[in-house]
Amino acid sequence: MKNFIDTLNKAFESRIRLGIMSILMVNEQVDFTMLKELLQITDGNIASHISGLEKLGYVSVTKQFVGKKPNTSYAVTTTGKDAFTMHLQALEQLIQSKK
Amino acid sequence: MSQEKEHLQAIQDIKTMMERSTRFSSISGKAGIVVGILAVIVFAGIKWFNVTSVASLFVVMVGTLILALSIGLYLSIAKAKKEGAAIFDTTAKRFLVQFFIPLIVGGILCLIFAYHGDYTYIPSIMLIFYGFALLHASKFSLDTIKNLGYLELIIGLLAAAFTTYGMWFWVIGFGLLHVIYGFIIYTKYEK
Repeated sequence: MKNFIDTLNKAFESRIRLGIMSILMVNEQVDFTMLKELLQITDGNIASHISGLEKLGYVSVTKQFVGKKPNTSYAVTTTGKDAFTMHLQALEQLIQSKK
Repeated sequence: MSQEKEHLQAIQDIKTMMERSTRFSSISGKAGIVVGILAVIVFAGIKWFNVTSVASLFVVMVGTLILALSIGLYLSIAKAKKEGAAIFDTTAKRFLVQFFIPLIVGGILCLIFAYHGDYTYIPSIMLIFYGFALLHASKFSLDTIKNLGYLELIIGLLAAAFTTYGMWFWVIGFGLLHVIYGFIIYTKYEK
């Protein structure tokens, strides 16, 4: 049992991070506003979780200007994809092992 | 045990986020029913007044299409607003772009045929391109509309094979099927 729990990635423990990763997995690029609307949390909250994921190399951040407005968009990296897939598999195994 | 619940909840969250960030789910079933009835009324009107000139038939059909799209869009937007879909913009935009690309191509093709004075295959083209539009956009919306897309394609091909009954296939494709699928969507997602 224990080995399953070990494979669960600590980085995805928070629901917000799980949400961010889920959204990025199925969308090529997502901007800040969309993340905020989907997750319905505050700007600062998103920013801190995103930068956490960025430090781990799971998320890449692109800053650019759309017209005169700054626009920040996020995408999942290959490392992030792999890590998230592993995490999902671990979750699945955990649940199946308890059945 | 509570930990297991937590994991199940996590998986549920992941699914919801993936769905919500990619799919425009506010397609209105009611709109389907209204549009279907509209097509049937138009068809009945054509038969009643015995409209036979192909050019006027064409105008009526195009008019119906525009009216139908407007009703569909209006009711879907209303539904999205009621549901408080915060992400209406992004997902709806994606859906609409995918939906309108085949539809506009089909529309232009219809106009080209009409310009050449050949109205024979217009019901068929309308049905087929509408079918492709649904199929193309279904990835970004309810799965149900994919099946509707397939059926429209089949009816479109039949309309091309039996051109004398073109209008009958048109009313089945745009009338009957819309009522049926509108009802399915309504009972499946709106109750």
